[in-house]
Amino acid sequence: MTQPTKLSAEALLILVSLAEAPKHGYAIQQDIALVSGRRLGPGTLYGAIARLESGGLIEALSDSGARRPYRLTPPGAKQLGAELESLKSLTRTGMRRLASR
Amino acid sequence: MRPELILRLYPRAWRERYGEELLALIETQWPLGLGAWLDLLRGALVAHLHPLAADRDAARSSKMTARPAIALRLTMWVPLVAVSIAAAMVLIDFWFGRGNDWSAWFSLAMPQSLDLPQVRDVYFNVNGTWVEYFTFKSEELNDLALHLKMLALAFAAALMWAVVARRLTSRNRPL
Repeated sequence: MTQPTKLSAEALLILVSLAEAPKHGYAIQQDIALVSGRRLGPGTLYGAIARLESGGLIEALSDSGARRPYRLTPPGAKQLGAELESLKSLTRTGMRRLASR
Repeated sequence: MRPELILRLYPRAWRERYGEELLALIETQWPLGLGAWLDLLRGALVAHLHPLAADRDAARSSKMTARPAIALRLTMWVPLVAVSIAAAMVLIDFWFGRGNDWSAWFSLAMPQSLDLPQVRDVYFNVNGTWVEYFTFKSEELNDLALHLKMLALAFAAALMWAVVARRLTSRNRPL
């Protein structure tokens, strides 16, 4: 079984944003700022979108246009779920260790 | 500067696929702040180092496969090596005092007498006798300290460049 590619923080934020509904670049940027308080720069955002699309984790809904929406693909949803589970486990362990200090 | 000019920094296939969307996003934030400019420059560099399949195919057909990444990998250690050589030259120059004698750099033989940048001085010791000693000239030491400080800064910058270049060209870059 091949190990899934590790996600960068930006890629994870984009996948979380697209888990709600398909969005175009500007809407993804706004949603990430709202959810995480972090504003991704345009170069970082589209760099991550390009990598996610070429990795098959997201796909564009229409062929052209300046406001092309993207959506999560089934492999993208699966990898996001695995990544969030891993973070949940890390968070649980961290909180338990903090509480036992 | 027009926002369209920024797109010229990106590879052709990347521009054709995402250019229009990126431009629309940039226009919502125009005029851009310094952080956004730097972000776009970094994005363009990463797009060249990790090209889309179409750009990779174009590069392969024109025999330019992964040229930016290879060039960056080749230049990664050059500043570090250059600074290390400069540091060695400064120390040798200080020690042998032969900065103008270029033949000395290529000679493995030790000099007959060390021409140290020293001055003779004396002081009275507790027994009331003269004690003769040698010390470095203070201006020589100041020069050395200044050169070493500059080299330390250059070394730090070269090290940072090596780390950044290594990260940018990493094959295991996360998505």
